[in-house]
Amino acid sequence: MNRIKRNTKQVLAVFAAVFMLLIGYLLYTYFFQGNRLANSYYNKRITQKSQEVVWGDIKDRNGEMLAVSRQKDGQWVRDYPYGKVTAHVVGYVDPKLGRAGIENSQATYLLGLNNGVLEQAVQRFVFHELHGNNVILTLDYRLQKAAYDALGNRRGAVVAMDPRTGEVLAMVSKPDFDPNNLAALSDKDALYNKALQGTYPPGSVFKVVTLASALENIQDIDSQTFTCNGYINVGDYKLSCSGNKAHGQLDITEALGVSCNTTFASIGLQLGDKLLSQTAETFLFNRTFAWDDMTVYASNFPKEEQITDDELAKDAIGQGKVTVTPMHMAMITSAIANDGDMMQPRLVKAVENSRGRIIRRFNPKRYAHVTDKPIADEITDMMVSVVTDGTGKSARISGVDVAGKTGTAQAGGQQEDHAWFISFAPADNPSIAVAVIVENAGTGGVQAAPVARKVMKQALILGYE
Amino acid sequence: MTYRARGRAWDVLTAIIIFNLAGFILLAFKSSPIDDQALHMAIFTSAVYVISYIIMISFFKQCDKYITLLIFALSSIGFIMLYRLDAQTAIRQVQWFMLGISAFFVILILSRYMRGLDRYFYIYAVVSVALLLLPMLIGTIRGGAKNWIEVGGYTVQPSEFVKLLFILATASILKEKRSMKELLPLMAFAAICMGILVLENDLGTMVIYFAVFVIMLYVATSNIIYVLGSLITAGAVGYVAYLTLGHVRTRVEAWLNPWADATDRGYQIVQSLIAIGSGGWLGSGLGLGQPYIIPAAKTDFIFAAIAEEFGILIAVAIIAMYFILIYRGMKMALSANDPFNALIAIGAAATLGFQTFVIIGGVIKLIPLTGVTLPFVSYGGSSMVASFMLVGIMQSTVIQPKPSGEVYEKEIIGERYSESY
Ligand SMILES: [Zn+2]
Repeated sequence: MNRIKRNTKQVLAVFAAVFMLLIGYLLYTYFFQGNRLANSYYNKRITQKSQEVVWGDIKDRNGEMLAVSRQKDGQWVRDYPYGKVTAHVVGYVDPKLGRAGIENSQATYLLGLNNGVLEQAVQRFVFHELHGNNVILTLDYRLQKAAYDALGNRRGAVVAMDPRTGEVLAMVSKPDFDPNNLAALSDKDALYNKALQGTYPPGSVFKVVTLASALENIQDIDSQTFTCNGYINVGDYKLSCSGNKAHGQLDITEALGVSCNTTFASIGLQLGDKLLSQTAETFLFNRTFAWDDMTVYASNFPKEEQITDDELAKDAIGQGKVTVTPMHMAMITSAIANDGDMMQPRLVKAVENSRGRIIRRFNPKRYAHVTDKPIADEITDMMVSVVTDGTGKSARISGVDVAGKTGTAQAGGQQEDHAWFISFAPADNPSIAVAVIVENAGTGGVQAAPVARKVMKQALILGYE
Repeated sequence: MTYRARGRAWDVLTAIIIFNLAGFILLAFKSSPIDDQALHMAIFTSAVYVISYIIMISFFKQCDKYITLLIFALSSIGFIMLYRLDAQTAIRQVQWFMLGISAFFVILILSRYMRGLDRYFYIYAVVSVALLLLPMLIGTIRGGAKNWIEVGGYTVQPSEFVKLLFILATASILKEKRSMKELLPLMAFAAICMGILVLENDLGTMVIYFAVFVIMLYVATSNIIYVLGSLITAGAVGYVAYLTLGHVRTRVEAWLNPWADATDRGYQIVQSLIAIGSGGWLGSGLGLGQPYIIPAAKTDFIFAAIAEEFGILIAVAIIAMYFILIYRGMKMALSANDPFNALIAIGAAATLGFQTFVIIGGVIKLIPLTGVTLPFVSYGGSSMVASFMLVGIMQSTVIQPKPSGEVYEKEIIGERYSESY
């Protein structure tokens, strides 16, 4: 009998653990996925509610209306005053295409699904009409317009954010579409938000990550001198600098300035696959970001048991199998601007009820610490010289120190290269970070840097500091 | 029993009654004109609780009244949720509840007069197998599982009731130290039961039988080799089933990534998770959510429906209540005076506990989903009555039967308590 009693206690302990697991997993599911679950495309509550509730408005950070419900012939219709300019961010609600953007991710707020019993009673009996809540974005329409215009008719994406808070100030994807006239949509690819879901080879903008790894792991990297003959042979593979140009003797700052592939490939080989992929993971490669207001596809840094030297050399200069999303590139840039602290990008600033009272405010969240301040500062200094003396000259703004890095990424096959530019300003106290990709456009310094410049300049004119 | 303890139990009962009344009254006033039927339900169920409780404390003093109170609380949440989903279902559920609690009291009364229940292994085994085979012979298919039979216009699920016999049979053998050879008939019996359940596609119940068997085997023998052996066998059988049985693989895949096929195979689990996410900490409020969107909201997925309207906090509280129920059941095993009774209490507590884990775990995507009921909450007559019977045999372990031949007719039920407990 004593044995039975002892064993019974053990069984009870197992049950206690199992039930704790149930509670823990339930809380985990609710806490970390609840919002996304509720806003899911498959949530029929949203479809049902949209028939009896007037959708709330979507506004930018200054109260500019980006999506409004208007009465037309006695019926409520959704109107997007800035149409194409904010199309990908704001999204749409369409019986055929479903929901997208903020209209999708914030549907529970916009429909007031989580309004309390009291609020619902007030609306039903005082106003005789159910209204959802208004969602206030972090977006600044003026910067959004600047980015939209700067990209023009070219395909690509622009992400601008405040590196200190992670607030997304502009997010543009081209080609665009008119959310007010979805019936006229000819190409469904236009619906897809490249800023979050486009994974591109980063090319030389990835050198920032290789650089961070080198500064962290190679003691004497600052005093090393490299010799560039315009190419380097790695095994059977010949990796060359842009235009086969021989950069001669140079230190690491100069190598970043001229974006010397040969030097960075040899740094990659010096680091080895383990350290480089470790740094890439620290910078959150190979991670899908599933936040309440956006889902960012995973950037890729190859993880292989055995990696050949030529693969490693290509990875170090952002070619090979490395891919990245524009949003992730903006996050990396922001982290360097913000002393190595990567803030969680946010699109939603606050939620107010239909009478304009704020009911929920979202605060800045530090998402990851990707590198230490001294290294971030050193990278910043080098990125400043990229803009003053190097490949990023076309991003210069008079009177302000701009930090930047160009990228010209092979798009594969006979296609023209993708043009990249990442930057932030002012370098000593950054208030805006921008990542730009222009697809198949050519050189980053020529095609992408001016776009970033226009957005940063507009931000500085508007008084972002 | 001190006055304070008695007072506390009454406080708990009062809280349950208030909750029960509040829930039904809210539902009554939600519809216009006021739903009289909901008010009748409020009064009727509350009266059933009070009367049952008084019977409990008057005639079965040595039994654990808190277990009964927990059952009231759980069933009340179930009644309210079912009424909100479909009034007729709730009314039938109350009938099942009354049948169940009657069966519970009958078992308690019988246990005073029954002795030597540990001598009938072969009877339990034969009856169990016969009952389990019935659906294959005369059964109807429901929800993919052929585990129902029709009796007088009602569908009955024999595997629910066989749980009871299964526990009795297992305890009959394991009450004494046995050699490997002496254990063989029991092993064979357990394997046959589980085999039939697999053939009837009743995987959830099969898993429960298996877990209960392993737990009882371990408690009785302390032999970790039996446990490991069973688990390895189960793992191997499970893997083969995954490879060969299409519906097993579908379930595992729907569990691993329900979103890959959210409108078809992953549909149930996706809708369940969405309901849990839509409710919030305090729920959308009774009658204000849309739990009817959830498939099988009245039976397998009632936990998700409750989480949506009552909120995550109540959902957590429900899990905690089940744990307390198991805890108190196991405590009865600790105070039992012989191995047979201890094993019965453990078996019954483990059955209820594991069943709860299997269904809640499935509904929240912790484990693959297998359709079993949430005891005392999900709609279902077989489940409600069988669960009550399990608690009945669990509670009966503290009632000592009279020595045979000493049963006096004039002795009224309940007189014996003043003796030595
Ligand atoms: Zn070079």
